[in-house]
Amino acid sequence: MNCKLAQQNMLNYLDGTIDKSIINAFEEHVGSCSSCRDELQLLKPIYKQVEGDLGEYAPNPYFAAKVLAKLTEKREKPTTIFTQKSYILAVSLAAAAVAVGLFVGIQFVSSGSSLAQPEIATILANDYSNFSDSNPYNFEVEEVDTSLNK
Amino acid sequence: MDDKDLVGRVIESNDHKAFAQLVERYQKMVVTTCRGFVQSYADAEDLAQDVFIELFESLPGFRNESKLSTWIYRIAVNKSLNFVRRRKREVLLNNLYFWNKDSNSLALGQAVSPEGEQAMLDAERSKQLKLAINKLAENQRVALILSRYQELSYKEIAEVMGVSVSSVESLLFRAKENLRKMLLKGKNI
Ligand SMILES: [Zn+2]
Repeated sequence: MNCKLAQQNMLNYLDGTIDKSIINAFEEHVGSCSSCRDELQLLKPIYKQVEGDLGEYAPNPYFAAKVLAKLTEKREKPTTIFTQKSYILAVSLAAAAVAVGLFVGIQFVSSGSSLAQPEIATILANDYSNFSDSNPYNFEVEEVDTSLNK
Repeated sequence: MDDKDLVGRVIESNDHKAFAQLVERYQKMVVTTCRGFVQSYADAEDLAQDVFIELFESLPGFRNESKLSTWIYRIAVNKSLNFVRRRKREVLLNNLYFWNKDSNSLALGQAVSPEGEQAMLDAERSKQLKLAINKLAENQRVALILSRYQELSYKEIAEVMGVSVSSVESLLFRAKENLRKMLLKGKNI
């Protein structure tokens, strides 16, 4: 086996999907090629972290209850889903509010207010982002597409 | 009761208990799939809740043509991709307007609070891996996550993604080549 083929099969080797017929050749190559061996040793702990991530999973016993509560809540108070355009508008408004907040903050700070700039910015940003909850504008709603094929 | 019976009960009599059983049955599958796309289980669980809400609403359209798990995977993948796209947009806008302290943590969600050196190392590796996976083209990313986090076969991945088995093979080949290169970038090898 050459280096190129060994490299192409490194992640397959680590996740166990390597073609059985080439395992021996792969291990032989890595055993005798220090550059491929180094590469494999670098990749192994990071790529194998998937198992670590999965191992951390602890099922939330209240999960189903939370879903049902959310369903009931949604049925009582139907919510809307913003279009991309209106979403960006809302975020831009919030961001603009922060910019204003920053400016006002600087004025406050320079005039001796005890409030730090980020706090004022956050308060103003929160005020503005509340708009997206009460939806004062008639944003159009869109259905969520459940198919991968568009 | 099998999936078909439970689905029938949900559709015919809006049976929330039957639906709760379905949720419990597929909870782990959905949460760990979403975890493949996002950096924390907190985000994955929030996403998974939305997946099940959408499942509930879309069940009348499910006609047992495919397996229920395939249907659920599709919703989970779509929700996750939308979530990541939205996060990317948020980061973009934040970078335009905010003082940019730590955009990575915004992009990836919060890592689990690590206890001890090993946990810190694991969290760092987990973040590094997720960063690289999120740089893959979407269809390569989906194929890789379904293969790696769910250990689905090529055929099952093909069904979820609505592509041929040979497409899945080539997507996974390219995903792994790109991922390998990204993980080795800057490692002086
Ligand atoms: Zn070599």
